Amino acid sequence: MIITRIKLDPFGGKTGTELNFRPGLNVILGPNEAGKSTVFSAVFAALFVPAKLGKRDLEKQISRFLPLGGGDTIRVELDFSSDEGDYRLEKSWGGTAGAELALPDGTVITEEGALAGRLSSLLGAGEGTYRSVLMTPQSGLGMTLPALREKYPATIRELDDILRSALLETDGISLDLFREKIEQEYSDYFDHWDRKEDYPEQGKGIEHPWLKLIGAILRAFYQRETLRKLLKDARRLEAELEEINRRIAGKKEKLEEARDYLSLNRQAVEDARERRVLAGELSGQQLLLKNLEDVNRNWPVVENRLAELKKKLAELRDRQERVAGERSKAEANEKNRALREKHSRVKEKNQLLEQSRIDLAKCRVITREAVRKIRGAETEIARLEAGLAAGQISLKLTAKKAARIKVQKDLAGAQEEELAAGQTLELAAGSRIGIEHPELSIEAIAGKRSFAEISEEYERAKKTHAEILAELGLAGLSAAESALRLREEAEGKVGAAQENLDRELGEYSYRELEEQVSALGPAGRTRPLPEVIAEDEKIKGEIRAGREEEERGEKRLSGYAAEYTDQRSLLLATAAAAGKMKELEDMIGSLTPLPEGVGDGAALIAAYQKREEVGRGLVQELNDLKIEAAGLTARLPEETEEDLEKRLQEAEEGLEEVKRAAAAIARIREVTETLVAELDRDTFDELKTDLEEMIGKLTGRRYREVAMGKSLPRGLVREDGQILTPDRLSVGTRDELALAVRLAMAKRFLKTGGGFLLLDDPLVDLDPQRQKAAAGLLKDFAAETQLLIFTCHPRHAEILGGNRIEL
Amino acid sequence: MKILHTADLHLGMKFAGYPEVQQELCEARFATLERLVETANAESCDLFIIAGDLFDRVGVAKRDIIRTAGILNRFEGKLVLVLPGNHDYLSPEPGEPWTTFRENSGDRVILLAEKRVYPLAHYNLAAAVYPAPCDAKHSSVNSLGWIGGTPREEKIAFQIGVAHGSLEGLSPDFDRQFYPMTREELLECGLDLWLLGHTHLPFPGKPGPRDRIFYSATPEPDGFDCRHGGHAWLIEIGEDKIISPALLSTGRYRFLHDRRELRTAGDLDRLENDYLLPAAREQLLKLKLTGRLAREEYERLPRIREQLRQNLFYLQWDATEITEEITPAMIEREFTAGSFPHRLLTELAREKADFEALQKAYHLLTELKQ
Repeated sequence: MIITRIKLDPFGGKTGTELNFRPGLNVILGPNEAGKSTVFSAVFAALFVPAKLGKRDLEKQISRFLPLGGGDTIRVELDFSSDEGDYRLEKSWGGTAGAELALPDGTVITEEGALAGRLSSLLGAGEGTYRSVLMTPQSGLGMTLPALREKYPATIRELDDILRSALLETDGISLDLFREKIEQEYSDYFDHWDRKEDYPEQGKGIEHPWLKLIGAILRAFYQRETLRKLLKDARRLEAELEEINRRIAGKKEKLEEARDYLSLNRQAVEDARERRVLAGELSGQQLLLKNLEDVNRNWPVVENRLAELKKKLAELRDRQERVAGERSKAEANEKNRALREKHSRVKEKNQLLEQSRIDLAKCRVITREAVRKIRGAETEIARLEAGLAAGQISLKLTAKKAARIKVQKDLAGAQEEELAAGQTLELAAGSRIGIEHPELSIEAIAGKRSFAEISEEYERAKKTHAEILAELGLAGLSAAESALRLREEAEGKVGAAQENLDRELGEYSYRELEEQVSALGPAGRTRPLPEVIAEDEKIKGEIRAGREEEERGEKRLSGYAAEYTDQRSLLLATAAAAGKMKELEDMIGSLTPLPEGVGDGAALIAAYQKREEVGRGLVQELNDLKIEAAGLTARLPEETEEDLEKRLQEAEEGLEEVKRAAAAIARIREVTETLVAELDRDTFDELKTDLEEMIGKLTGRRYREVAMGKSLPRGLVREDGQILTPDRLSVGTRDELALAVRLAMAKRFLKTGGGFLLLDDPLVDLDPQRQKAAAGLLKDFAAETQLLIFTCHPRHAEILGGNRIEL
Repeated sequence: MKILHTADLHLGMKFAGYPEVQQELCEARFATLERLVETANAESCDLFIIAGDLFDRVGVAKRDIIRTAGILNRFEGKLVLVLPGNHDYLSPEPGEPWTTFRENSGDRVILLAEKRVYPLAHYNLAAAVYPAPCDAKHSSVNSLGWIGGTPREEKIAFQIGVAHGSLEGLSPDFDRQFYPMTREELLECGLDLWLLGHTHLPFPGKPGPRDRIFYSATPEPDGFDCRHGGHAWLIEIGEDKIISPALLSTGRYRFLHDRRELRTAGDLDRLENDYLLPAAREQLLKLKLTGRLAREEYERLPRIREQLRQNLFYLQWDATEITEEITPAMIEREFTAGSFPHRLLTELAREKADFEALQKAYHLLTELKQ
């Protein structure tokens, strides 16, 4: 397809502007604001923007091209030619919107869908491809390769398709579309199905199923599992119900047994209960009769006894009176006897006192003072004697002739001594030795004190001593002391006897006591008091006991009288009780006998009650089971186990069918992927060759090899084999690579069906040398494909040459 | 004395697996019972005996029970005897369906609920019935036990046993859970006739004068596992006790299971011939097709399917194992050698296991080509 003319009338400030193009290279030159972008937009709008737009799209895509001076319609005419001939496309937007494509044969298409379809086949590539590759606006050329990949994936897919078309074009089948369909079918079958595990992904079975993206296998699987669960539940419920029914049957059987027993024994039990009541009554009646008989027997006995008691009590009371008198006397005797005994003891003690006084009177009257004086005198005498005896005087005399002498030593008396002639007498004394001889007196004295003085004292002392003793009639000190001791002992006995008597007298004086005892007169004759008391108490006890018995008897009699009035009435009551008892015995005899083997009525009633209890329990259990059975019956599924089994079998078959169909799709997918991998190995070779040729020309053969990543290059291969990715290239080289990629891609896109390439200032960022190389490349490209280049640089237009169109 | 012996009507069966014809299949069972009663009336039967499974389950809808009782009330003979089967067993505590059934059935409908002799003299029949009712869905022990030891009344001319359960050697009851019985056991009971239910096949196949044990089969087929058209016995007993059985065909719908291999145009013609007949209009067909067909024949399949679907009462069409024969020559003719479609189809045409994938891929590629 070759664009031959465009007319903007009006469009974006251009009215009646008409540009004519030729095949090959066309350079549209104009300064900035001259309208290059307007022409670019007009071409795009004519080819791709529908005439009839909604308000929003109109605003977004067209309104900026409306005439500034007024008017609501813009219009473009585009002439182009193809192998079939010339076409004219007229489109207007806004107030008068419309589209018309005049075909080479003169016919016209105005329906926009058909018109777009026809244009698409003439353009050789889709709108996206034109937008991304074949009609790059300003700055679009420099778009990085990754940006191209990300922003226009559809374009890349289309390119891939185009590149692969060498292998597919004859069959007219889009490999990608085929793959998409297979993928879709694969998803439809296998979504959330784990093929390896042959189970839902993540083990999500029917209990926790996937809710979205459910593939056909998963759906069939869940259907089967749902039925399995239903069947399992149904079987479980059936089994539970059967079990409960079995239990109900068992309980019913037991209940029947219990009911049979109760029915069979009901009368016997009722009679046993009656018998128990009657037996109670009979027992009461027996007791009553026995009581009556006792009363019958006792009434006269009690009366007799009372009479006896009265008599006995009278006797006892007389006797007691007598004993009480005796007791009074005995008690008085007992009381006087003590006084008399006291008097007797006082009398005795008084005699002792008198005797002691007599004994005292017999004792020598001596005082302690007298004894002391005696002892003093004796002490003085002894002291003086001792003083004389204390000196040491010795005298030796020898008689020349026989002589009789008197020798006195100290205070001792003179002693006669007969001395023979020539006899020597040795004398020794204390203080004095006196010798008297008729012819002489010799006195030998020791010490300074005069013996006379001493002797005087001595004599005086002796005199005193002697006088006292004489007065007392005593011989010496020891006698005095003995006499004093005897006297003092006698005095002590008198004192003790007096004290003894006083104590016995107590508060009495001897005379008072004498008077009282005299007043008592002579003592009466009684038995001993304890004996009398014992008898008195014994009689009192007998009276008391008799009285109590009497009271009891009277009480019994009054009770009998109150209850039975008299003994005749009592007899009648006894006869009535006996009659009643007989009646009861007859009634008991008429009751149903106890069943064989049953010990007594109580045992029968207990067994019966136990059965009743068991029966009630069974009824309750049965009710509970019935409720449970009703609940289970209500929960039974509407389909029987057999129906569910059939459906499950069909679901199993269904799952297998789905799996088989899915396996077919999986197999197609697997083979397709293998083949695509094989195809991709050489499908991009042509693009790579074009790119390497172009980049070689642009870089002066600095780079000759391109590292491809499918349809887009990953980078340029340096001489040392290192791959330089676009971000590691210089800005100029990167622009050269971008230009080469676009030209190579355009070449591939437009190879099959014509079309054109439109570039906006492709040389603007290149240095002069690179501009020259690029211009050469563009000219080469334009030799085969129509190329429209917009530039504001006359120098670029000059380098490029071609059909220059000035705005 | 004439007896119409049936069993296994399974009234109230849901047919949930046949949503398109569910209602008709449910309804057909009631219609069949009505026809049986009409037949019995026309044949002047004395007894109408149902040997179990009159109902499909104990929880059958009340309206179905009332309707059933209403139909049976129309029997003009002497008595209708109904035995509880293992599907409509009599629970120990009387409940549904039999409570409602009894409330709605007339005096001449007797539920054989108890294991005791049911003398029929009162109804002017010189016979007595010995039932073996089911009291649960499953039981490894049959209900015949009570019969052997029960004294016979000499005056009664004819003793009839009615039981429900499997019969050794005839019914598939591998786990012995459906009241299993043996021929010996039945015969040892010393009765003159046994009318049984449970097994959905008629028995004996060709009755002879000495046969005493009869299964009536279901009178209306109930699924693809039922290969016959539905039957009941019309049994006449002479005064000399000679039994004359006649097998009645009673069903309306017929379930058919057909697996066929198609290879030629003739195979397709036969398929059409077999199922485009008027008789097929009350047939339910489960058709499984296998084989490979040339394109021309393969393309006939959708049309045949539609014809069959229209003519048959119900069609389960499984054509997953029949494929169009895609030959290497076809691939060579239709696709460019070395192109992706050519390589794909050639690869899939190598193995028989891939034929389904081959067919699928071929059709996808053809669609895209167009």
